Order: sequence, then structure tokens, then C-alpha cells
Amino acid sequence: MAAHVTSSRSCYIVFGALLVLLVLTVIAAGIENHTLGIIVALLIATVKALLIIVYFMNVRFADWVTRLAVAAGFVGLIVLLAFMMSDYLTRDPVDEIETSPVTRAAPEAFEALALLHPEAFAPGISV
Amino acid sequence: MTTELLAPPERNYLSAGYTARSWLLTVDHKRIAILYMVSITLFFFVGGAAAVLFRLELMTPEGDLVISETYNKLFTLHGIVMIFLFLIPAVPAVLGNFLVPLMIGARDLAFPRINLLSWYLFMLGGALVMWSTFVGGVDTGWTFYTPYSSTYANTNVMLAALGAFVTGFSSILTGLNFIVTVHTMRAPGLRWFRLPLFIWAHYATSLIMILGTPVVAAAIFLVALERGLGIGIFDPKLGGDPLLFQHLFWFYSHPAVYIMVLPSMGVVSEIIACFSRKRIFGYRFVAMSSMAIAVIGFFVWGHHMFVSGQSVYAGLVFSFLSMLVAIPSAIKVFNWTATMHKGHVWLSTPMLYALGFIGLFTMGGLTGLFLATVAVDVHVHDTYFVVAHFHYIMVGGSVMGYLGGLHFWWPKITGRMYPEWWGRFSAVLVFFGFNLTFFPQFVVGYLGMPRRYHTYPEEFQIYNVMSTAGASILGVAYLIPLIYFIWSLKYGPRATANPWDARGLEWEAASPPITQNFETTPIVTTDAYPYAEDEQRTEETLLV
Amino acid sequence: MTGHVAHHFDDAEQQFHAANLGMWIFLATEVMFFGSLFAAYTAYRYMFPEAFVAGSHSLDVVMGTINTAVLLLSSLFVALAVNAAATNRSRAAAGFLVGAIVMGVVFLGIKAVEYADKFAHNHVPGAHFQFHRESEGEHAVDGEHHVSVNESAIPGGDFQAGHNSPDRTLEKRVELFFSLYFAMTGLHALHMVIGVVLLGIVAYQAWRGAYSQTYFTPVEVSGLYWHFVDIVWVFLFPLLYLIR
Repeated sequence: MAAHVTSSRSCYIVFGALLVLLVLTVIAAGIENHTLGIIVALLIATVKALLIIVYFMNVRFADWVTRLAVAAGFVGLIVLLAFMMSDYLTRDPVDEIETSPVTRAAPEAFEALALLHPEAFAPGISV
Repeated sequence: MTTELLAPPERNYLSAGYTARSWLLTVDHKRIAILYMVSITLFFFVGGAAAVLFRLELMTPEGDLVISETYNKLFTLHGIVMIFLFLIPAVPAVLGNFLVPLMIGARDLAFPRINLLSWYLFMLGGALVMWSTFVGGVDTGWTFYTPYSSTYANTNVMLAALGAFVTGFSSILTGLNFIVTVHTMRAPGLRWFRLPLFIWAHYATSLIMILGTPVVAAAIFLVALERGLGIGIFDPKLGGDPLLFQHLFWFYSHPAVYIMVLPSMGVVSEIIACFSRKRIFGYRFVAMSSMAIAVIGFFVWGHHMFVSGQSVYAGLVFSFLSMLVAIPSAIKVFNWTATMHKGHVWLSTPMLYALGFIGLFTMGGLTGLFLATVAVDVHVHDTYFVVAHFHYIMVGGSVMGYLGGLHFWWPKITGRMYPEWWGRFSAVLVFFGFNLTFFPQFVVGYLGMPRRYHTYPEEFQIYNVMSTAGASILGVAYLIPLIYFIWSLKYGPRATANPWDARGLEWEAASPPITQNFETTPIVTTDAYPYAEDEQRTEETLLV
Repeated sequence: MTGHVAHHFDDAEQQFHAANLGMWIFLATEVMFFGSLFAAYTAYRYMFPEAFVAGSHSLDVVMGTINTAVLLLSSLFVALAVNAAATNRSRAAAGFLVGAIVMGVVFLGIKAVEYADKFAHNHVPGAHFQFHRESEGEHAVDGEHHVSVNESAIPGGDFQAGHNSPDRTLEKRVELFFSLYFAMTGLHALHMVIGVVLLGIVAYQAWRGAYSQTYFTPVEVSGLYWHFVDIVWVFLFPLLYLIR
């Protein structure tokens, strides 16, 4: 069969590198800056994941179709994250809404409405 | 035609075994396709029965047939059954399962046992949904929106959601099987751009199945955690965001529309080429437009959330990207039309369905552009305009494609011909019934009738009566094929291996095919749809 | 070895390729499945950074680090098992697989201890959830620091905001963090259990000498699955345990 596998020696070297990276990520957790901390942690995790994928999972011997399949999930995930966060990152700041006269009046308006139409605010749903 | 050709092969896949065991433990992709066909037909009539009940209710403005809770459960049942248990498996799991190996000259799918497992998962999911119905129903709508589904609904949300979750895995396994099969098991000489467009469409569909379905599964998993174990993920009381559910849900459920319609587009490409006696116009563009729809389909889900509290800036991006889907869709429509141009168009039953598909899909697609425009969507969101739009895509598109494909390959699947006159009659009837049902809903929706209510103002009654009348015609039009298909199993004339004189490897196999599909592995030397070069012979041998 | 080739494949090479590709595509679906949870994590961490810091500080970094090392070691064993199977050392492959299984069980054991700790401290989301910033100091690396909760930074509004102290609000956000913690690590642990069973079957076959240079597909394919579960943890560890 044409399939190749990683040699034992490479396996041990990669494992050593993974342990070093593990120690690095724990040390890097001391970074006080929240954003920088995330970036460093994710970078180290990505390098570890790539080492596992390329060496342990033998992707370096794989054909282009397999490599495409490897990439597909991660590309899909990036699409999900990017477009979803495009919503969260650009939502109107809530403090503007909360300080607007309409929002401030909302609880009173609800109470008045509940007095007028108690049936609409009755708890529980009949089945 | 010689008489030897008319006799079916003695040992075909249907005669390989007659016991229940030979069906329930089969790993033959053709038999599994039949299992799927029977199951989704049953589910189709369950979903249809729910539609009959609420269409009757909607004949009058008052809520006189069912109370609002029952009405909510009816449209939820209709949605869940029709989408998860009928439309998503319809073309891929029935026609795709049967034809993908045949069309690429393989003996089976890459993983036959996983294929059977996927049917069992499908049936388990279906059983859970049916169970949830029998013990009282679900009223969340098929979308399971939080926090209603996770906190407030007092109905059997868990069972139904679990059903959707399990059928999702069935769909993942089908997609996985198709992709691996197309990559590894093509016949010698069958290069990528020699593949039938049906295969391209199924390949694109499979991409959506494997990348989209896990996300909705995760969303349902989180709802189940919240509802079952009280672990709040979307709970606003903890600061959770119910919109997060909608993001995860629509990341799958918008592309899921393309799971429903892309395979039907593949069917239509096959039918149009055959009954216009021409190679499909712009083959590579049609193939690539399937892939483009699958990819762009993942970039547009936010157009379901324009009025849900999503950021307006994200809304603008999603609106723009949604417009892009129109490009590959239009490429397909124009290329089908161009294929028919100066072709020898033969209005057989499958062709009538394919033409119906083009017309109705175009309507559905164009009204989709209305809905992708933020300002217009604010006006028509959650009205019957939306209902009409997606029925034009899902029923006018997917179901027409499924029925067209079923007629086209019925001789191959069963070895029998269906009655052509009845076929054409019901195809035309479906088209008229469908338009009478759903066109008035565009009007009444634009006038402001909201969806999901069982009562409505009196001035909307005329449109609803038209809709219900159309639905009755549509119901009859769906029953007619069911009757003559069953009739044809015993009384239909024997089909030859290639009754339409079509091109493609599946027509080189016997009707019905032998279990191994081909006596010897075929070798492909031409591009797909080599119709034109032997036009003369074609004219002479056509039977009708 | 035609005995291993199923009827619908032409040769062992095609079968190996199909199985391998099939597993990779399955792993792509798994990436999306776990990825959805990571997406939820991203959204909430963006919304409530303070709560995520506070919640993360109550997790045991030492146990998390040991568990990561244990899992990496199990991955090494699996990689060595594949190497052994592919070089006609089926028995050695069985040994390595057993090593991986043992490491997997150790991982699950440590995880169980951590879970028990969460139950003891009422850190399990639900009716009994409690979280007090001050009393959680024992795990905090950088000691006491004041957490300011800015209500206005919380999208979606909160009708009871006025009735809640900042501590109570933080407690709710931390509950959200723990919901994600249990959903993600629980799902990961479930995958580990499945992986242990899978490796157990393959190890048994390897012990019987079923694998050789010409046929080691099950070792390779189940190994891919195990490595994937490892990769998920490689991301979970810094994202859950190491937030500052």
C-alpha cells in the first residue's frame, strides 16, 4: 500500500515540541492584557493542533483531496465565527438605548398595559 | 427494439430477495433508496394531512375548526415533517442513493453499511417526531426558537427536537457517503467535467450536509441541555442571547434550503438535456453554479434575522450577500432555457415537471430578492409573503424536481412504465393547484396578513378560500401519481434499459439493474450528454 | 490481501483511501459541531469578559495542565501504534493502543475529580448555582482584584437589572460561563469515552495480529478520531482554564 506513516523518531520529537508548547501556554497565561492573552493562547493552540494534524495524523503524506477535507471543517468554522461576530461586534451600544426616554418609560408603560389588559399578562400557558 | 431487450434481467436487485430481512438488512444502495422512498412518502402524507386541517381552518376568518394551540401544533407538525422528514431526504436519499453509484459506474456507495445506518437513524428520528405528535404535539414552529422552546413551551419540544437531531446525523452520513463515493469510485475515464450535473448537484448538496448539519445539531443539543438539565445557554435571565440560537440555527437552516433545491436542479438538468435532445448549454457553468450556491449559501443566513435584533450593519452585509445567490441561480435558469432553444423539445411527463420547476423556482427566487432587501423585509417579514416565497422554492422547486425525477427514472427503478397520459395530466394539475394555492398568499401577505395565526380579518377571506381550493387540487394531483405508480408495479408495460433513449451510465445498466449494477465496470470515453451527434437516430427510435 | 477488500472496491488502496477520506470528512463535521460551541463561547466571552475571567480563575490550572499532558501522551501512543501496525508489528501496536487507552481513562478520572469539585462548590449551573467572587480566591493566580461590572455593556437588556447588585449579576454571567464549561468539556468527555471503546476494539484486533503493512486501516482511522479529540482539548484548555 502506498500510505506512509510518520516514523517513531519524529513522533517523539513532535511530542517533545507539544510539551514545550504546553508549558509555554501556561506561562503565557500570566499576560495581563486580555486581548493579547487570547491571541497568544490561540496562536500556541493552533501550532499544537497543526503539529498533531501534520505529523500524528499523517497529513504530510496525504493527497490534495484529503488536505481539502482537513481544511473544509476549519474554513466552515471561520465562516461561522466571522459572520456571527459581524453581528455581535456591530450591535448598537446598549447604553444609548437604555438612556433613551422610551426605554426609561418602558417599565411604567408595561404596568399600565397590564392594568388595562390583565388577561394578556396572565402567567402560564394552557395546553 | 427487439423482444429480448424487453425482458427484465432474471436476477435484478428487486428479485434478489423477497423476505423482510432481505430488505431491512440490505446494504444495496438501490434497495436502501426504495426504503427511503416508502418512508418519505408516508411522512409526506402525514405532513400533508396537517396541511389539510389548517387549510380547512383558514377557509373562514374565525377560529372555528381548531383552537389556536391546536393550530400552532398543526403548522409545527407540517413544518417539521415536511422539512426534516421529507424535503431534505427526498431527492438525495431516494434518487441520489439510487443513482449516484449508477451514474459514476460504481458497484455501490463507498460505505454501504453506513448507508443503511443512515436510513435507520432517519426512521428513528421520524419515530421520535411521530411520538411527540401522538403524545400531544409541539407548538414551537419548526424553527424551535429560544427562549420559547428552551423555557416557556409546555409541549413535547424535547422529543421533536431530538427527532430533528437524529435525522440530522442521517443526513450527515448520506452526504459523507456521496462525497467519498464521488472522489474514490468513479469509473475509469470519468473525469470531473464528464460527470453528469446530477452528480455535481449532489456533491454540492453533500458539502452543505456535512458542514451545516452539525451546527444545527449543536444548537439543538444546547436547547436540550437548557430545557432538560436547566443549564442556561440562551437564557436571557443569565445574560444569554436568544439570538445566538438563531445564528446557529440559520447557519444550517438557510443552506438547508439548498439541500432541498440543489438536487432537484440536478434532476432538472438531466431531464432538460434528455427531452431537448441536446447537450446541456454551458455545462461547466451549470456545474460550478451548483458549487457556488453551496458556498455562498453559507454567507447569507442573517437575512432571516433582519428584524430579530441583529445589528443593522450585519444585516446590510447579509442583504448584499443574499443578492449574490441570484447569480448562480440565474445562470442555471438561463442555461436550461438556452438548452431548450432549437432543441427537439418533447413534452413528456418528466419534462413538464422540469418546466414547472423552472417557472416556479424563478418566481420563488425573484421574491427571495424582495425578502433579502432589508427595507422590504421589514414590511413583509412573518407575513404570508414569506410563506408563499419559500413554498415556491420548496414545493415549486424541490417537490417538482423530485416528482420529475421519479417519473424520469421510474422505469430504471422498477422496470415498469407509468401511464403517460395520467402522468402529464397530474403534472399539469400539480402546476395549477400549486399556483392557485400559493399565488394568493403573495398578495394577502403583501397586504399584511401575518403567518402562524388561525384567525384573520374578513377582507383576507377571498385569498384564503382560493388557497384552500388550490390546496385541494394539489392534494388530488399528488394522489394520482401515488395511485398510478403503485398500479404500474403490476400492470405497467415492461421498460427497456433505456426507454427515453437518454445518455448516461445509469441507462447502460439493465432496468431494473442487477445487484452489482454493471456486468463489467464501464469505461467512459465521452463528455456528459452526448446527444447531438446521433440526433438522426434519436428521431427514429423515439417511441412516442 | 484481497480478503480485506469489500466487494464494491477494486483494491485495498481504493478502500484505504475511501476509509481515510471518510474519516476526515466525518472529522470536518465534528469540527463544525464543536465549533458551534466555540462560537457560542466567542460571543459570550466578548459580551462578558469579566465573568469569564472570574469563572476561569475558579478552575484548577494544575489539573488542567496535567490532563493536557496526559492527552498529548495518549496521542503519542496512538501515533506510535499506527507506525507499529504499518511496519508489521501488530502486537506492539496493541501495546501502544493500551497505553493510549490507559491515558484516556486517567484523563477521564481527573476530569471526574474536577467535576466532583464543581458539584461540591455549587458551581454546576442550575437552581443551586452559587458563585462568590471573594471566596473563590484560592485558585486565583493574581490574587484579589476588583471586578467592575458595567451593566450597560450587556446587550439584550435585563429587566431586573435595577434589582440586582453587581455581584448577583456577575454570578449569573459566571453561571453562563459554567454552562459552556460543562457543555464543552462534557461533550469532549463523551467523545473520549467513545474513543476509548473504539481503541479497545482495535487494540484487541491488533493483539490477534490482524494488522500488517498491507492492512492497517482501522488503526489509522480510529487514530485520526483520537487525535481529533486531542486537538479539541488543545483549544479547550487555554480557552477555559487560562483566561486572564
